[in-house]
Amino acid sequence: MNEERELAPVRYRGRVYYVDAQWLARRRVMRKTITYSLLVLLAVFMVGPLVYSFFSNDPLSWPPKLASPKLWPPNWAAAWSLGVQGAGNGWTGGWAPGGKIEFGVAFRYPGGDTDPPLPRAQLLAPPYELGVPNPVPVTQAEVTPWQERPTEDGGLEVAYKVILTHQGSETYPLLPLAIIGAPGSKFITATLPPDSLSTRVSGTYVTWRNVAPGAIGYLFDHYVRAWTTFKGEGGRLLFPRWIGNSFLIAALRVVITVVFATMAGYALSRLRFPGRNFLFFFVIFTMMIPGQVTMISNYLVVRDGVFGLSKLVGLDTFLNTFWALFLPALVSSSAVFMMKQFMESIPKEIEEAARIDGANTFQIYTRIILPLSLPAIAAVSILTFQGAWNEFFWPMVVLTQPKKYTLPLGLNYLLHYYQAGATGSVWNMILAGTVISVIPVLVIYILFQRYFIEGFHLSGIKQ
Amino acid sequence: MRKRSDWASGFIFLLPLLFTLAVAFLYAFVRTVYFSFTDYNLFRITHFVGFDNYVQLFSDPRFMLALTHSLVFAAIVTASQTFFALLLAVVLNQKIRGLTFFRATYYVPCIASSVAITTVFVWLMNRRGTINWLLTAIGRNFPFVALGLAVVIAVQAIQVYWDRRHGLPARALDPVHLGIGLLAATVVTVMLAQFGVVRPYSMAEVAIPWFTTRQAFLGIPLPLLSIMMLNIWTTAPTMMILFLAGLQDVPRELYEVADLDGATPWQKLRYITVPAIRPVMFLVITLGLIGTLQMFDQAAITSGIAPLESVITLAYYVYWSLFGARTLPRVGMASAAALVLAVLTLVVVLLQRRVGFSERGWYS
Repeated sequence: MNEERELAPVRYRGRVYYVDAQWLARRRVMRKTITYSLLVLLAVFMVGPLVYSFFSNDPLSWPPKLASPKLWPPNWAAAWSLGVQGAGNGWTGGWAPGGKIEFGVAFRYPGGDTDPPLPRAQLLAPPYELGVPNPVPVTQAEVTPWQERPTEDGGLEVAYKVILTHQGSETYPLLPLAIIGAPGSKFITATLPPDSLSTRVSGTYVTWRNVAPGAIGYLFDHYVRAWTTFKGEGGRLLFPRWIGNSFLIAALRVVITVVFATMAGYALSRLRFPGRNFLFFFVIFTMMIPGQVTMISNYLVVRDGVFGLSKLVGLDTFLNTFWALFLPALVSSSAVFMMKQFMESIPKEIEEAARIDGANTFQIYTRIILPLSLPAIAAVSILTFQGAWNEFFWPMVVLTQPKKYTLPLGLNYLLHYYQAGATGSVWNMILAGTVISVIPVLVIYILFQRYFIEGFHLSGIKQ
Repeated sequence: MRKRSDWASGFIFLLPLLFTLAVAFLYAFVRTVYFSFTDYNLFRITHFVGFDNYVQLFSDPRFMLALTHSLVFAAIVTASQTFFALLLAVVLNQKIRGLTFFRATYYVPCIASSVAITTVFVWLMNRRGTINWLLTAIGRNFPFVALGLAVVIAVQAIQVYWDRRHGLPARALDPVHLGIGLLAATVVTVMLAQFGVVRPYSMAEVAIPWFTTRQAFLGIPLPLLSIMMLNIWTTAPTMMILFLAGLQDVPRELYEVADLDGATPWQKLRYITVPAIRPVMFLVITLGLIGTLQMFDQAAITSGIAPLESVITLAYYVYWSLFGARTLPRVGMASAAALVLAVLTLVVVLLQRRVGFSERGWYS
């Protein structure tokens, strides 16, 4: 039987070759594989740092831990069970009266130590707030050996049961614990992975920030702490406040921008009046002027309450108020530019027909132009929201009180406030804050991706 | 139909825009120019001082430092981000599944705020941070990497030579051969490592203080270099989106004709892609230059962590002379510096258009 091989033409360096179709197919598959690997590699490079900071648990450890124990589901179950034992609450945990926790921990003793001393369990004061001492929970801790087995190199591994019993009548949100193994011993494992581990001459110190965390308390520990730890004057929580400020400002900015930019875009694209082209050119020109040039005068204008307008709302100055954020960006040039570009693509005939039917300019704007511009409005809204949410320079100039800050300013404040002595636990909170600040725009981005791209096309390509 | 003129309604529609332009731009611009010739400091009676501020500015070592930093930053970052973005776009510009997913993923660094990104990088670029740890790992495993690469190149060369001798049109980077080469490299490296023929390079742990130092590398302060790296990483995706849109408009026939003529991928990139996306290139480079010359955020965020002299840029210098210095606000100096920045931006953008990429298309 003579098997006919299928041949396929390939062009290479100006010549046509006829090759085995399979040979070609193999190359096609392999090329795809390599391309995808490359794409995945690039994806890791682009989002890796952010994802890594989302999950990091021990930010200052050396060598850095690339995987966090928080990604390991059995630990979630352990946290849940400890939360139930501590306060009957598997979600948020705590240390309530009547709580009794059984906690396992294992140490290894190298070299012939047949009767090693018991590790000590020490309860620590919960650090509810930075720098404020708190009472140690009234708790009895009892350590008993549970299992032991010799290791291959002649050492001994012992597992202990630590039983914690609540003795008081107060409920504590956290139950920090340290277990100190005998000098020379090595920590092996525990019911819950420890938050820090250090070997000293006096013993092996294994500490947990919270041994009754509950599932949420374990997984989102840093987030909860970032939310509840940073306080401004009068003990008001700063983080929720910053988030609220950011949302309020971004939402208002979107509304104002959409209204004013569509109005200006309509006038620039459709209405005829002298100086239209010059005005449009000027709008483009303002996009090139650095914010620092206009910042100086704008700062003074805002300080003096925009020519006394602040008296209308009973203020002497707009500094440190949200009014200040709206003045220089009442209408953003780039939004006007995008709206104008889009509206020019709306057929003129629709408008003319409406005019013949007796519609006036305002009616045409609200009834025809606005509904037809919805895609552009969506793109402008989303880009404006993102811009306002992330804005840094102008808010930094006009807002100086922490309680007035938006999220980026707040994060910058924390970074600067703690940078000198930032411990791992402070870094945890700062990174958690960073993640919190990214999530809203990330969600919006995932939902409305299409419009981000649309916005770019409007602002760039269609010239 | 009579030619309409709607200046009345136009005026009403444009009122908010006109107010903003008049107050926040024209008035502000004129005032800044005025301040730059006075010794105003927010409190004292103001005197006209002529060009004193400008003279002082150019004799202020901090300002000269800021000016150099801004120029170096703009040149390096714009060039690298344009290159990197073009690379990303070319890799993405294929007919494959899941393209939208990858495009969306690559864009993620752009949506986070500069503060969030900088915070993450200040942490990653800690003296004992992940970046240094990765560098250490790469340095120590360098012998294996080099060996693997050598094996891949050798195996590839042999296979391609073999194929060509047998009349097969194997490209230099034939994907199947590359796969075999990678496999061979892995096996050889693992074997030689097992038998201890090749050992990891023993070197001290990398402990570069990326931000907290006055050291410089090639004359660029290390903190500024770190900011450059993170800035390229965050802005390249925006440029990538622009390039992608441009690439999709390049006529496919051009590539087909080039294939007929036996063009290599590099030649296609050099002689078809780059000329065809000239208008986008102009846009990307112009936006890049404007953005980088006016870099403020990262300098302000890292200024407390890194020494001021290592991260100061023109935009930050303006802010710093107003609010940062421990003296009275020097409004005059700040205004003069801001105007220098504005003029610089304009000049650089025009110059770029003259000698670099212009917006005119190649085949239009």
